[in-house]
Amino acid sequence: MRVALFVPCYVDQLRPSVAHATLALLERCGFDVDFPEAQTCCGQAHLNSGGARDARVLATRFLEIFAPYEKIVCPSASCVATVTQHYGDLLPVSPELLAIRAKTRELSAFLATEVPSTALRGRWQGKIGIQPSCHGLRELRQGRSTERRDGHPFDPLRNLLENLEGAEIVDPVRTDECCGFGGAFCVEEPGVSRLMGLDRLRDHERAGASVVTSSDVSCLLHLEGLARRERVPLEFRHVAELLECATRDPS
Amino acid sequence: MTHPERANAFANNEDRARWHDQALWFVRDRRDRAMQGLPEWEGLRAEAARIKGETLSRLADQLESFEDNAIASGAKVHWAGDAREFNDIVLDLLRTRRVTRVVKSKSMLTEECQLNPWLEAHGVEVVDTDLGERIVQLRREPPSHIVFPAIHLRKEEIGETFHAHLGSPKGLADPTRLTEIARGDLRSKFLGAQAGITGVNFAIAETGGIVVCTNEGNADLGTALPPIHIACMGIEKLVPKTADLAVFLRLLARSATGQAITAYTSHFHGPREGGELHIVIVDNGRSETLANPSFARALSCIRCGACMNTCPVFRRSGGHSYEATIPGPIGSILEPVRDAARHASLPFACTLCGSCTDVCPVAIPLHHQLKAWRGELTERALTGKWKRFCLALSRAIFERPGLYSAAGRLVRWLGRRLPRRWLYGKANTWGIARELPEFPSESFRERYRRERARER
Amino acid sequence: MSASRESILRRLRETRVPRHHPAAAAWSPLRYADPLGEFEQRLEVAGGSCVEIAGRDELAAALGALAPFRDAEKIASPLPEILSTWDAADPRGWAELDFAVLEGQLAVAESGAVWVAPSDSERSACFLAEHLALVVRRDSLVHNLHEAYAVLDPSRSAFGCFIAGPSKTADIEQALVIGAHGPRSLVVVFWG
Repeated sequence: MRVALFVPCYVDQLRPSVAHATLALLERCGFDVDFPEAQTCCGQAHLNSGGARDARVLATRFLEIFAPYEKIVCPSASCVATVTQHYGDLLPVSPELLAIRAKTRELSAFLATEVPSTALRGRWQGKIGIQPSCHGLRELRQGRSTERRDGHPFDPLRNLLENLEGAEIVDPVRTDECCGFGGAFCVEEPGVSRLMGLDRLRDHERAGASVVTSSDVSCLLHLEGLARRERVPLEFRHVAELLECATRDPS
Repeated sequence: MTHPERANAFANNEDRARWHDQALWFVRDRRDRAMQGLPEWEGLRAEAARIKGETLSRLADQLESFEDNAIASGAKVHWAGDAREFNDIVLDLLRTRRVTRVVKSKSMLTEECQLNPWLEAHGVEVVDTDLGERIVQLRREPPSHIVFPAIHLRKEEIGETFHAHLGSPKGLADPTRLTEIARGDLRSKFLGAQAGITGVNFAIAETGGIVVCTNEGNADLGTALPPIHIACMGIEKLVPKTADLAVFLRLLARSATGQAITAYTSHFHGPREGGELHIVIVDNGRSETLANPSFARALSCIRCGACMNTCPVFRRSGGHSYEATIPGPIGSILEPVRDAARHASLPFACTLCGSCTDVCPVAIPLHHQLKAWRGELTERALTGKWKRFCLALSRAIFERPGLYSAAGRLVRWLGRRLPRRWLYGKANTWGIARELPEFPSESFRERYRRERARER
Repeated sequence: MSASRESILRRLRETRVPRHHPAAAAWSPLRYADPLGEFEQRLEVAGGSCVEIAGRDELAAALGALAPFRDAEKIASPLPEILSTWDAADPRGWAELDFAVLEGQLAVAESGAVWVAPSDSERSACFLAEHLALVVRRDSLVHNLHEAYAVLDPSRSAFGCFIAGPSKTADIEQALVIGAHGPRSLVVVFWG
């Protein structure tokens, strides 16, 4: 299967290790991965900040660049949600748009559905806290939302972690509260954003986590920045980094 | 002042903000447990959304049918286009009946129209009888939450207020004893009132009846004792049939407080013997909201407050930070329809986490509407010039991969080289509370290109 | 007919509201294996309590076992089994009502609520009393509110109310206080 790697702009520039880990994981699972170099940004930041016109330009670009691929995989739930859930608000419905929406997947969802779990066996020593991406949870419906009363939800991130020997998932009291990043929110509402983040850190710390993981990089950058400032001894690994490391040497 | 300015002030008092957060999280938690008790919860929400959607799509017919049936039951129906007309109607009703003492149960509509100051200015004493509303009334503050008007106050502060106004012993802060003091004071107000004003939770088109929900029983005392009952409702309060009440009542209290139902759910059909029932139907901007396809569904709101309790921003910024009659997520949609310039910062007081949408009992897509508002505010040039410039500039860079790569390289280089005091200068809002990420020397695409070139 | 009425209705008629079609998931309202047990539990959570008697002749004795009833001087009751000592027509006595006993028409298990449709004088007693008892036939118990509204017609009386516990508030720091304005206790007596 020919898979296009969709790397969010801020991951490309600020946390390239997540993209490298994604690439390594996908190749290890036998996919033929291509990174279309014309890609830059999906337009999420613009759309969420009120810049629908600007986002529309970037969405159109995205459609052209990724059209030739069978699958598009991205290590960011919020960027995937922008493409699959919100491009429809920006662009007229077209076969191209519908196709792109259908084939763009968040990394953990892609792995959990396209790869047998035996291929992702690995080892991880330590307690893992999950900071669910809000857009993964409430736009893509990946994971259990405490607000809803739905039967058995699709929770790929948790399933992948549970598949790792030695890994113990420790849930905070508030399992799915937002970390307070929120795009431009984190600089426009610094006081509330900070407090939200500190509360998440405290909750994960009390649960006994040594590492916090997520399917979105932005949440982790925000939490990591706070933790380093406040000297909270937590590590932050995107699920791609964590899985890549855990499955690197199965022996 | 903008929302961030007021919110920062609230959040920077960390202990208090955490206490406020915990108090509302407690309510959210109770709501979750009540929701878990009903296996049909999601079906019920969809049904509520369907009923409200249908009602709003033929609201004029529903209102006329309500009016006909209400008149047939003996009520008098009045119509007010805006707040001014509403206030005049109520004042006129009271004046012509020589009423100077009124008890009022909770009604966000009267808050929205500023009825109290209007009546007071014309010599009518209005006593808010909901305990929370009474507390903020004595303090001359607006409510900070639509279900818990005094949730922002500590019991010690309420004790001070009661000491000053009701003569309670200094230092008394026990909720039970404070409530008892308020009960005694308000009992005399109930007994002396000449008219009772209530809000309306639901109005039934097929019967002309209205339903009012309280836990304290204040709406009931306020309408059982004085001979005149004035009920105030927005045009969106209608449900078509009596049977629809089951759907909404099952959702309302569970969403609001985690109760199965409020202690009192009172149905009024006409006045009592020898009494009068006046129903005032108010538009005050609602028909404009309905005409805006992006936000029309927000009129389905049944005012349960669940979106406020779940909102991680509301819990840490306090209801007053919104400076709006209806605060929180739903208020951030409804208030800008009224005055977009004044409330332009509200749709941005949100991380788009989507929790409000998932708790909403009538399934209003709150966070998507907030996002839609951001676009509309930008189109109307009501967001900052600098922000709009940044959006356009970054878009122009993202359209050109070469420029994007160069810009990224420059930023990362600066991030590694600049001295800390420059990096963490005034312009760096991120850095107020957080460290910047470590800037890598190579972007993903740079290393990818380098490695693929070597492979070839 | 006021000008505002016409202009509001005209504006609404000129507006085309997009129909919203939510995914219609099939659902049916919850029913209980033991509806009476559910009712009792709900009412208890709400601060009320339940008594069961076999027949109306046991009513006076059942109420007599309750301290607030025993201590009551002024009692309001339209029920033949209970002697009323309170006159609703005399407003001077309004503030002195200790206990009210009223007939409930229906009980709802899911909400622990009783439907009452009191007359005007009973209505003031219902909310003024320090303590309240509602007497309901056991076979009037329904599982949920959908079933309740299928049986009830609230438009038949000027006033009707679901009562689900004593008057309460949590407006001071979320601390639950029973007896905000109305009755400080509620007992529901099931008979039959």
